[in-house]
Amino acid sequence: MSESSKVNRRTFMKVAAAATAAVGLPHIWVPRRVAAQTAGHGTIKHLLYVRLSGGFRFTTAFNADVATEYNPFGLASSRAEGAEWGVSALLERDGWRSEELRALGVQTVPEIADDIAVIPCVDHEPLSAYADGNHGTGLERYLTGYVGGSTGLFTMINYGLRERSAAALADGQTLLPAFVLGNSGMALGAGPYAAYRAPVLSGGSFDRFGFEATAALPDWAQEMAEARDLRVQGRVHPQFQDAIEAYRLTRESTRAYAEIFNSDALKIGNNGDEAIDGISNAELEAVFGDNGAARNVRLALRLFHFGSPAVYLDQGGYDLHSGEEGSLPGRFDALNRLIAGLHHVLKRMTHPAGGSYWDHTVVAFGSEFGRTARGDRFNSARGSDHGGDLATRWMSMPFMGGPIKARGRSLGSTRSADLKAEGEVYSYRATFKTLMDGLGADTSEFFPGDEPFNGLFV
Amino acid sequence: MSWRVGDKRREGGASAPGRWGAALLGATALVAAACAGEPAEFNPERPARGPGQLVGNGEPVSDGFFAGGDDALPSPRADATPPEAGELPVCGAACQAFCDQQGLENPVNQGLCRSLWGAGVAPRPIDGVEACRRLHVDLLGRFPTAAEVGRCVGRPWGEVARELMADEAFVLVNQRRWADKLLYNNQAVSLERIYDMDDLVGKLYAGRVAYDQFAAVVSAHPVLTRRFSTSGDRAEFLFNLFLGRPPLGSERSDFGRLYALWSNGYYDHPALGMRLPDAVIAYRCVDEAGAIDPARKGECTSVTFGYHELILEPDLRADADGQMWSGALSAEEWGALQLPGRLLAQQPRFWEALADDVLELYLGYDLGTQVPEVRDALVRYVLAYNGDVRALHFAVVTSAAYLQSAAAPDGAADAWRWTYGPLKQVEVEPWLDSIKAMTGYDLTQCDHRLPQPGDLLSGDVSLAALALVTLSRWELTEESRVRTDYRDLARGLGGCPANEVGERFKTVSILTTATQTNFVAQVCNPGLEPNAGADAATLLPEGMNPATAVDEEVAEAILRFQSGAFLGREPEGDEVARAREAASRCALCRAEEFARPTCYAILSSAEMLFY
Repeated sequence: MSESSKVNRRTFMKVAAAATAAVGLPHIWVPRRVAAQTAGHGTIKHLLYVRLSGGFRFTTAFNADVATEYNPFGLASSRAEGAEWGVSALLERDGWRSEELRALGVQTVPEIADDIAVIPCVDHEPLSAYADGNHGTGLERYLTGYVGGSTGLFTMINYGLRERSAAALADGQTLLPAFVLGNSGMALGAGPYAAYRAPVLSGGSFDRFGFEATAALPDWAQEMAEARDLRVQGRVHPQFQDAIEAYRLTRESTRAYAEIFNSDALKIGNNGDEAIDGISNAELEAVFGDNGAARNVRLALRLFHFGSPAVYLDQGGYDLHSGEEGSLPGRFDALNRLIAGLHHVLKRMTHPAGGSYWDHTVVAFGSEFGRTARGDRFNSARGSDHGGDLATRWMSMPFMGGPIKARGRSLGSTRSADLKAEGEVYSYRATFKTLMDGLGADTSEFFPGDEPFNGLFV
Repeated sequence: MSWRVGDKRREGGASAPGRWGAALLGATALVAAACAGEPAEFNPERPARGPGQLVGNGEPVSDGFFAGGDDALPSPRADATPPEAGELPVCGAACQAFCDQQGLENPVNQGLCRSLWGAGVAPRPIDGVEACRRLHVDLLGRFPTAAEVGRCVGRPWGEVARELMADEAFVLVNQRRWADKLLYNNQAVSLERIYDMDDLVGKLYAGRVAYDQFAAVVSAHPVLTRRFSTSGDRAEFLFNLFLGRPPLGSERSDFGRLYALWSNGYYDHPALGMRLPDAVIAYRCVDEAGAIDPARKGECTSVTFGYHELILEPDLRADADGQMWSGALSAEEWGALQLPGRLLAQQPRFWEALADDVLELYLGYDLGTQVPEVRDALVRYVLAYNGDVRALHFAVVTSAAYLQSAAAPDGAADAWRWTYGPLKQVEVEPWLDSIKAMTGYDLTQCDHRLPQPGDLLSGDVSLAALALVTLSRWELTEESRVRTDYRDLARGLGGCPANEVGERFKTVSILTTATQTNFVAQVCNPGLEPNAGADAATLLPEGMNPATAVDEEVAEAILRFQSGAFLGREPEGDEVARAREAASRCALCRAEEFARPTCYAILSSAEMLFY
């Protein structure tokens, strides 16, 4: 290691410590045992958390064995043996499955239904009289757990894993934090949580982060740039010097991250054929395609390679108040490809810790609320709305991945005629807290009234 | 006070069928009135529809010539006792007499005198360039060009501020600020309503609507009511917005009763071919015949600020579920529904919160709390101008609190925050827009009125929808897709929010810094990638050939040009010396090879991020 890189390393450590450890962390790091709350504690290394944007009509997908007013598209003609949840006909759509993908062995969603567990009744507020079908507040609940919540769920993950990050850092290992590749509300954080805000990346590319000044700039220009910042810092009032210093230090730190950001692995659009974790960027593109969500999924898988515990992304646009009857089926093509593609590549990809990524990863889908046609198959504009009823209320969330032991099962059920819950109703906060516990995160400061549960892990 | 639209029908004492017959006539007149007041067809150039169109169509609320822009600032009172460290200033009779004699007209200066000059302390003198940069970023949303700095320095501050505030960019900057406050999101709220609210904000900052009238319209505007699902949430948002505090539990539930009539629904927009979310009126507190129900009217009555009923009686505009689309409301009904805002505007805290907001906006700290006399003076001042918010903006940006340097003190540390100037991190949009303007780099922009333009361009796209996006500030590709280069960049840095949840943020982090430096690298192209970056001509003094061999003079000329173009100032001695020294290390460099890395060094510097 060169002298300059040692300096950079020290500087990086200083900033990264500020970013990954709370102010006032003891000088000697003493790990605190995070109490396991579920049987799956610590079994998840990576979480891919997908929001089906705009409010998703779950009964047309993952809780499909219901009356036609809830699912006008019907049930799949067949499904994998052992899958006990209601698989929709829309999940059968596989026009996206080219000959190449079939040859690779990419299956349809009904064919892998036994690898997916579904919780039909996930509810924002189980004790509330009616659903929150409002875009603003429903989404606030989805991203923070509460209306007016000030801490995003992904900030909670970074905070909950802060000791693990600090330990890695002390060991000289740079682990990427949880990332948000969609709505930045997932990365809210103030007060003690502000330092753990998940980085928000828009555009599905790290191209914007790849610049490494020391490599591209001549020495004189590098010195000129550094001198300018030092000059500003030295001239402003002491009250403001910390802000300037923070900027200077983050500039230094970008060098440490530049190695990661510049890696070929993160250049997901380079059509590269070098196998990384057993699969090349070109193959990932072939499997997922190249739309916005597909790029984000491909990027997420590469972020996992660098230790990121979780990635959040938005998929689709399902706020179909009009024209749902005609356009929703087409939108399932993208969703089905995403689900089936993930199932395929996670099983193929070899994890640095051993086994496949499937063994260490959980993929979960949710949305701010479900959708309703208020007693009809569709509303007057052949679409669906969202109100206060049960169709809006239930998020029927699917989960897949090796750590999920309930694969193929349905954790609860609804009555076909009126969607009344016949089994367990899970709070949304408890569901997310369960996933956090699976990641091994400290959840003690979040959602004290909502307990994680074992069902997914047994 | 009681708002009961429809009382005349009830007083007529007709039988129920007769009452509905009268209502039909009334409804017909209302629909006709609505049609007369709005275009019969959707106009994508002016899609605004809502109560904002009903106000601010007359004379300005003030003449716009605000006093106190050019106060002659006094010297610190000579016989004042210097303050002890950590103590607040005490202004006795001599101090008060001193301040009374100064003839200060600026309300901030008036309020500050007892804690500044009267206490024997002087504000920190400011360099003209520092002040001009600050004024331009705050008022116009971008750093000034060298020419603009030249036109600004040395002129009376009142004149400069008045000129900048007359620029339409001042209105746009504030429209964007209110878009953040009101969380514009065209997925949650009808875009017609968002455009209407944006028009209303424009009228506020053009001096055509007083702030209390603005608050009244906002309080019952679908942009607010449709955003929330419960009455209590609407009341809470209103309190936070206009009083700067959440309501007490009792206030929330009581004030929520003034929102009891609002519900959320949709309407089918024939021209856009879309179903748009919007507010609807759910008639409550009335009996089956549509008359006020004495047993239930308490559910629509607030007693927090006096006794106020807010009840509308249904007519034939109501649908089978007893609801009516808010687009069919009459001007009289809008007026009735604006009761919550009118009530809040009667509270002293309403104007104080406004003063505090403006102080925080420009100073970056709560001077109104630290020196309450400043807040009091600002409230009197804005009321003297009939609630014209521009008066407050003018007063603050021409005050001694604002026009002082953020430089380090020469001697002992400052005792009080108001004795040195603000230094703020620049918002994302001003940063990007400035670099774009300075270098001519190809970058689009966002439109805060349509944060999710893609919703209009998915599925079967109507011509009206396409026209609307085309006429917005978004740019489309040849394939009619929205160009997202600016948006993607800005959102990663906390700007250009979609306003689904939370949204705009400002922080210094590894990723934001990496984003910024990488963008500057794309613009300046220090690695001289072919066909990349800004045109070399924008980085070189006029007439300089990019192939000119670099020597110390050429390097200095390039530095002087870029320092002027980007920072609006002449380089200082140490900067010139460094550039000349760099020239000697840049052997055999051409001018472009020196200009591009220099561009990177300047545009990525903290001087471009903090102002």
